Amino acid sequence: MRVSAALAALLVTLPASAYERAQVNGNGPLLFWATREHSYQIDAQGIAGLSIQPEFDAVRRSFATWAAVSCSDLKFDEVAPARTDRHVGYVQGGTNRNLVLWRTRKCASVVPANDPCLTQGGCSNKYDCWDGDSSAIAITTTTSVTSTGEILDADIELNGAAFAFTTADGPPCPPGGPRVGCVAYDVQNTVTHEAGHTMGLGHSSDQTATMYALAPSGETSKRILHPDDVQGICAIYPKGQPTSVSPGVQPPGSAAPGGGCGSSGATSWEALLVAAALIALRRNHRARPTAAAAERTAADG
Amino acid sequence: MVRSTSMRRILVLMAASLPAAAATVRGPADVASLTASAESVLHARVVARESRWGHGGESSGLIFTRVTLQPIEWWKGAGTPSPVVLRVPGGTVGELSQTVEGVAAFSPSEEVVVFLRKLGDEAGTGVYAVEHLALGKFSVAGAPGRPAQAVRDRSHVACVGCAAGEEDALPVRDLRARVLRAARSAP
Repeated sequence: MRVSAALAALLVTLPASAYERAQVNGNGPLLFWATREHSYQIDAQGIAGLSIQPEFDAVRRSFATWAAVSCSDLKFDEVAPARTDRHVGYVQGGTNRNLVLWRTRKCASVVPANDPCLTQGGCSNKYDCWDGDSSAIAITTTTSVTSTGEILDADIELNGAAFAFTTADGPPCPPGGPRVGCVAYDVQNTVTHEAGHTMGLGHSSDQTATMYALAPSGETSKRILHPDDVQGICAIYPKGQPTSVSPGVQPPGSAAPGGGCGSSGATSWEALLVAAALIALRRNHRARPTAAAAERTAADG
Repeated sequence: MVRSTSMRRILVLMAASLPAAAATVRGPADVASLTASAESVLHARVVARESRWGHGGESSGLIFTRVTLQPIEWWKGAGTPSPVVLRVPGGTVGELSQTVEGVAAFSPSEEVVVFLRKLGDEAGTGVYAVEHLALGKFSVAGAPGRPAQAVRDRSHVACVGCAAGEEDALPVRDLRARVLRAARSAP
């Protein structure tokens, strides 16, 4: 009982954290970048029907927002927008950029019906089209080393084939109405959230967080970061300290394997807490069965 | 026992922080809306999974996982009793893994209900994609003496326009009834 009370008290006094970390295949090693400085490139094609400068600036502000976190030292160097190969994913030995691009046509509209890429996959790169779910607004594809979780490449695709992206401030755009001076699908709101994923963050259960999953139409609150987002990014990439990686994985720039951290929360303290609880559990089962039985009897009574 | 249970609860709460990452989709994603937007709705069991590069091999730059399903019952759409294939973005090929966020994940032998869009045929086998990413998949699990439950995991999907009350867990028979009702009323 004392151990339980102590653990409960410890949980109450510890800072709340709701962020999550992404993992290889959902249950493998935690995803992380090996360096604190990596680049991104906006494909210059932009999106049809919208002047490109505001949308590009919105993407830049999204990355700048993450770079401005003072308890981390992440930096994002922008490679000047250019007409790229618009190739999402990763090719070993190839030129791999961390792209941000808009797909402006659906694959179903442009790919010949007999092309095997429709069933095998790969049409998006071959035909420069949106091959994903038509309901998807944006998708982030992260390529990593299977055994360590080290991210090699991360690309953000925005579905310009089906969604009207805006950069203005204002009220939510009316459904089906004009999209001037109002917010439909805000570029900065969307990319700031997706950029968090490119860095290895998953979703937060904190409803105020930028990494929270749900968003109403016309939302702009995710343009900036909130305390839980800051806590999450600083837990992975703490300023001046090693990157947080899975147990057994060598942190970048370190000679020793990672001591480990959970997939969520404030990292090492949780691992310690779990370890303490596990030890206590074992003691309960092995060393003090009588005491446990006595408590059960008391509780039943 | 009280002590063990309490600590187990603490551990479960702490361990419940599942890994997550996400794409962003547009809602709603309630059963009726999903049924209306899907070409087919299938109750099935996973019989095989395999990840491979997209068409063209490694140069495609994209990894896909092919999930083979043995149909139990088609709830919408005139499907075949033969196995069908789902093409899901992402997966692992050797030392390279690709995480395409928010897509539905499938486990070996898992019983599922999936809302589908057909991509084409390969040698007579239908190839499909899951609608609304992970929101278009329910996992079915039962406990002895209790009706089988259909549960979906939306923790990996960001949704704009999804309602807070969209059900993510309900008895399979209720899910089936809702799908059939929605399919009948669909245009």
